[in-house]
Amino acid sequence: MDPLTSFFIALVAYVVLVLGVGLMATRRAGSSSEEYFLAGRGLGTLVLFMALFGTNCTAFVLVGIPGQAYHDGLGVFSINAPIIALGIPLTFWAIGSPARRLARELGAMTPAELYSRRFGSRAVGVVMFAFFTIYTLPYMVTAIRGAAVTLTVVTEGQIPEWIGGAAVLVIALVYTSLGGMRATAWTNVLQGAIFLGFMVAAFFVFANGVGGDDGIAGAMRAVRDHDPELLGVQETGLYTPAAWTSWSLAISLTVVAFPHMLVRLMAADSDRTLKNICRLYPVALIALWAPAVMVGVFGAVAFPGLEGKESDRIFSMMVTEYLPPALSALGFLAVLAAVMSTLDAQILTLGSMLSRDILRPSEDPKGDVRRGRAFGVVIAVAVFVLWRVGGQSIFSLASVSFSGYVTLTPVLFLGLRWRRFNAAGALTSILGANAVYFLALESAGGLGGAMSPAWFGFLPVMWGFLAGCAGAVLGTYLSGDRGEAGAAASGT
Amino acid sequence: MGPPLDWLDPAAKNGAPMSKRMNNTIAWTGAAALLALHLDFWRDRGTALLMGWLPQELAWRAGWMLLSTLYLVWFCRSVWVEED
Repeated sequence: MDPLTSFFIALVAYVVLVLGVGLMATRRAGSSSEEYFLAGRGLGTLVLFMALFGTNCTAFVLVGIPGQAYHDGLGVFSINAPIIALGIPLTFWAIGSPARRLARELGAMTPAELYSRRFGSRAVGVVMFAFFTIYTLPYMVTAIRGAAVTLTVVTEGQIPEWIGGAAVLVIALVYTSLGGMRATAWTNVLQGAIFLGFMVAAFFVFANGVGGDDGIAGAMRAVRDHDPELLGVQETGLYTPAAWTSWSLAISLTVVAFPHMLVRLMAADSDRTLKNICRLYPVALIALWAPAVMVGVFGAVAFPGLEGKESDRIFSMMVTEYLPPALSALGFLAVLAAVMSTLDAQILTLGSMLSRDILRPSEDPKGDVRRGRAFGVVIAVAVFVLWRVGGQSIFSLASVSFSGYVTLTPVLFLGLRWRRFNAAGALTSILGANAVYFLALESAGGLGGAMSPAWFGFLPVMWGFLAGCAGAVLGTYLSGDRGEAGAAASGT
Repeated sequence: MGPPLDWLDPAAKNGAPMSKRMNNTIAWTGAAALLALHLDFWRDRGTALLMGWLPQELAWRAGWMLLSTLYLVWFCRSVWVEED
């Protein structure tokens, strides 16, 4: 069977499966807004873990990380994987766990709604919604472009980019609208299993391909002989002490501030479930990140000479070179699965925030669900239009977004852990953090400077975060409000 | 045999739970130590292959991740109080 036919068969099977899972979740999804948006706050360990992991890991890990490792070597693993394996679980404890409990007490179903009720301030909810949306839309556009390009390349142009992107959006929208949070969580189990399983298996196949009969040992020696620097850490760019420290802060804090991650934490059935997830998370991160980086490092031996962004093709080049047609089809499906497992959560979360944070929650239990579905369509259309007319600037914004979420973390944390913290402090923190963050970005070279040093060698994200902490404290104390009204309302 | 990681909990040998304060101290100290080991600019980040196949850099990070996983297991057991 030729590769193209294999891919189409695998693609059809995958689409049928995810739509089938969405249909299975439909029966319960429409019964109430809590069921639709939060799966009845009843997600257990396995489903929630895969939902979080699938949402957290985008196609960037499968495609962008190998591309980066092609040039930078093992340093890409060193600067990312260890610190997120510790940082993400700790943020689940520091923010996710109290957010889940408080959301249940207050009946909140979105992150912005949770903090709006905590502070007794609609303004806080609206401002949080605005920043969540500003930072999430470019992310979605980038993901759609990645999926569309993958489909076009694999089908040798038979699926044009705009049709591929539209199809991915429509499929994600259909199963998300059918089954809400439960459908996205269940499909994430399937999607996560596809891309995690594929990467682990591909690592061994690629090692054998590059290393010959000696397998991993042979591949490592081949890398050493080709360019020993790939087995170490560079000393420039992101790998200088100040930039490394800033990036460690960014990558470990940002994930919990993705609204589509935080809302999933709010859907956990218990603290015990969250604890189980924290124990599993480091293992799964190693299983995904180590192969992703090694694909790029082995790729540098197998396909030397790629320049700049050309190395983003190394994943597909390795897949095509070393895997039989059936398995290479699975490789490209893995990319699609990683895109869709994040995209569905984003559509659902932004739809729920539009429904409940901008409009007021409906009296009719099913009214919010109808509005959430309608807003999901609006968001999908907006993403498609931004992608087609937004130009290159939209893609630059994606790296701005990744760090930008960190500017919200002082409020996310202090809002749950500091009784006196009040609405004035929250607003000062968010607005101040973002003002400083964008000033630092300007200093680092504009929208493309999110990963370039700003002042004193630190990345813009570090300055935004510090400004957010200072704004929270200053705003709270200077306002004179002791935060008792909000704290009493929330029980903190 | 006692519960896992009892060696981190001296008082557990006597059947008494370690105090919350001591747990918090260990948690903060452990996190700070892990962070210091992650920000390891003082270390020689060599490119040698240990045992002929394992890059020294990867071995260091894998060891760090093993430590942090043990830390998280202990943290979830001893510091994180379930409030359901």
